[in-house]
Amino acid sequence: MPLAEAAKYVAAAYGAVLLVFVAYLAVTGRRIGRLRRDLHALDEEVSRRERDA
Amino acid sequence: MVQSAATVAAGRVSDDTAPAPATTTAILALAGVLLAAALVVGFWVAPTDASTLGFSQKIFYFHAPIAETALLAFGVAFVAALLYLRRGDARYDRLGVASVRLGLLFSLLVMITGVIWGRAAWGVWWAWEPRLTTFLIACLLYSGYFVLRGAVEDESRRATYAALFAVIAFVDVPITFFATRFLPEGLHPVVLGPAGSGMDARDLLAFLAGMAGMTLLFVGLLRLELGIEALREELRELKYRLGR
Repeated sequence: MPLAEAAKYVAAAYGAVLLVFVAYLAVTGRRIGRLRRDLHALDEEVSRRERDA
Repeated sequence: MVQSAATVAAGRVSDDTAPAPATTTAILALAGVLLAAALVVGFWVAPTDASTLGFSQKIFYFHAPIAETALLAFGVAFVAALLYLRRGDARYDRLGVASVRLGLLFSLLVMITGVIWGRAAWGVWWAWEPRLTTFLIACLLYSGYFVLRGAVEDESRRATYAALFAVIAFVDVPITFFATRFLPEGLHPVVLGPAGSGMDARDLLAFLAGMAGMTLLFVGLLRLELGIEALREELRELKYRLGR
């Protein structure tokens, strides 16, 4: 296979690896963000209960 | 209760199973260095393959390590499932979930890089040969793991069923690994066999750096996933205790 054509396949393979990992990190970032929001909400509720007690 | 919520809110998960973030960062950084080294050696030091593969052989430096790492992840899930079934400790359930999730991530990458390389090397996007077929079966089986988990409400039963499923699904993993050795008529070559690799030393160096890098990447991501799972567990418990 000519070098130019092979290079396209190699670039596609490594590009796909990069893309999938970036997508995974983005999804993981969103999961952590959601957990942080939940934590914040819980923390506020605990503070409110402490004030009310 | 208050202290627990505050501890979690401050990012200090009280669960002692949550991995230390600094160590995870260090492992991921080392993985990045090793993977970069694999690419540098593979592309700039190792010779271009003299066979029909030519330059497309460069896909190998990530493809093979990703495949081995996917199988390793399913192996970890298998051990975690056995430990859960024996001890009933939720930490092993969390380890199983995290391992299967990462195993599927790496399997997706194997499939993508595999079909691209297959097109370049064999002229076809897909071939029903032993390694590809058994790997596809593994992907489908482990996708079913999450379908199963989503279908069972009770936490304890869900963990038990998932562990049993992970044990059964693992049967396909050694078959996938040894497919190229027992069924040599397939298209996949044996990379590291009893007779050695047959690779150029520079090729082997790039491959081993890729293997070490991918394994460390898996370990780092596993620790990250375990941290998230531990945090989620803590949150669930806090919500329950707060009556939400």
